[in-house]
Amino acid sequence: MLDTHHLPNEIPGEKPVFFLRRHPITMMGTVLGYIAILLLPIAIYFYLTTFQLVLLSEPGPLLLIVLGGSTFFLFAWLFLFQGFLDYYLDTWIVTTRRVLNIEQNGLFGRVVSELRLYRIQDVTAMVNGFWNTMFDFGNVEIQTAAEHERFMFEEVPHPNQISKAILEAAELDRRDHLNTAVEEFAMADKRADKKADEGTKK
Amino acid sequence: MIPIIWILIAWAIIMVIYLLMTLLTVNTMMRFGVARPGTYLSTAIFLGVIAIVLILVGAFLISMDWSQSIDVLPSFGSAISF
Repeated sequence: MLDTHHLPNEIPGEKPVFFLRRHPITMMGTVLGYIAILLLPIAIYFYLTTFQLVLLSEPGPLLLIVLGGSTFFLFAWLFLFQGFLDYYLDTWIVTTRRVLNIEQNGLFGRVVSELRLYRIQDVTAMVNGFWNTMFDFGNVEIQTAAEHERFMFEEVPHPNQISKAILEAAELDRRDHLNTAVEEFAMADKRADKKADEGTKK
Repeated sequence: MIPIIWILIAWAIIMVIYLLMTLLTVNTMMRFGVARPGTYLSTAIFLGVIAIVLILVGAFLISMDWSQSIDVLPSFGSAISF
């Protein structure tokens, strides 16, 4: 199991700052859909007991109804839990030294990526849409010195506070890794200059 | 006419597949979930509901007379007749 106080590849002295998931409201559509599906066998049972009592008095059809209904309910329940699992296991952990992005894709797909805080150049918080504004959730995009490296926290609560806290934590970490950070930013600048030169030549 | 025990056997096979899928799902939760009460609680609720449904179905199955047969086709025939 994942212990927030003993993270994978732990760096000495690091402490957890944020443990993030998507806002629970993002699960609402899936949950309501599955609740409707789960209620279907129960609704059919009440319909049969009210209007089709003859059907329930015969053992054969009754057996088919009970076994079919229970199988339907159990699978719907399993798929609901798997949907919850997909939500629950997608996490972003911010510590005093790094950012961990853990993404669960179904039962067998799992991506864990890591980003050191001193490499962060820019953090953008994005809140778009009515529900996002009402419930204060949105995306946080983290841009690093590397050319294409981007981290995205998707639909997390309080994105503005998170982006501010990440920038502050990155600033502190950068002070500890000043030499490495300067080297990386210089390399990134060189790459940008080279690209601009190539663009001018074309 | 088919003996109703066949329906039970078919259901039992489906349940074995179901329980394997459940095992894989719980295993994923227990391996990769965060060590917090929410993880244990949600898994316990998930397994608890499954147990309740299976106990209720089991209680119903015990009360059945398994020597009977079911005539599937005439039932469907009468269901679609106008």
